[in-house]
Amino acid sequence: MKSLQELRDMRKRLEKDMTARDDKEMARVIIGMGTCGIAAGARDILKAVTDEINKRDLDVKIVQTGCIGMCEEEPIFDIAKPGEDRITYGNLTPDTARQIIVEHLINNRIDKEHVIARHNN
Amino acid sequence: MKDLSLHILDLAENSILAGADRIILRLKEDPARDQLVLVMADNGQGMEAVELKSVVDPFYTERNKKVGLGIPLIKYNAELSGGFFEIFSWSGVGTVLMAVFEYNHIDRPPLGDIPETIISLITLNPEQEIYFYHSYAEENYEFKTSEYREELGSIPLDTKEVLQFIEDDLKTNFRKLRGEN
Repeated sequence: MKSLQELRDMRKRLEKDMTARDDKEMARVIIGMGTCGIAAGARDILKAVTDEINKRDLDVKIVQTGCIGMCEEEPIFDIAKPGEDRITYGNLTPDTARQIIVEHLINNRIDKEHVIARHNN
Repeated sequence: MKDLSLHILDLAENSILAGADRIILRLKEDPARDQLVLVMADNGQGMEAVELKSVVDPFYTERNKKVGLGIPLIKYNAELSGGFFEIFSWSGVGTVLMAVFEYNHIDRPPLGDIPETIISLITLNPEQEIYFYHSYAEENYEFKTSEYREELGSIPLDTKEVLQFIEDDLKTNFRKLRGEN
């Protein structure tokens, strides 16, 4: 491990500003991590999404799912905001993934160009 | 799959789907003996003999079984690079698999970004215990999520700062193993 002291300091710092997270009210990004998704580049999509969420300090939970039978559209993710339709985006690249995160989660606009499915909640 | 790190991510996903909360990952690079060995073990639900036989067969299908190509893919890659693949499983205990490659074989997939694979697994499954051991010739390093958990107490491992710390740690060790700085 790099530096134990650094890690301990981090713990103290984080414990101070840790607030209870209410997962139910959080928007979720659901990434397809089946064999098809991973082979199509899901890991890079995950990295882009995590990076964008951290950079903009968004309150979003990232979760995974397996193969949903649309392997030819991978990499895929769903965005589910509480009380709204769950939207499935496909054929992602790291750049389009970042763009969709900003459009959908910040600007509240569905990026129609990359939508492949829509589910009523 | 483009490289071994993606195979590892894919196989670890199998473990998680099987309900494992512990994953052991050992990667042994032995250029002198022209060998690369990957061993993965989990404490998931395991498989019965019949199911175990079906997971290595890419053409096997049944009504309720999902398509499973991850294992046939790594088996194919191992055999293509002069090695072999074995999988053992005990129902209710867990699964162990081993893929051996000729290190210098032209068809051996490159290692890829192993730290990134581990970071991805932690991001998506912060509760998962992961033990990773990596050796190259005489050098080695270990990574244990349990050690971090001990130090961090109630702070989840998928906290931004923690993930960044782990990533730096993994990447530094990954480079050091090869004598790079």
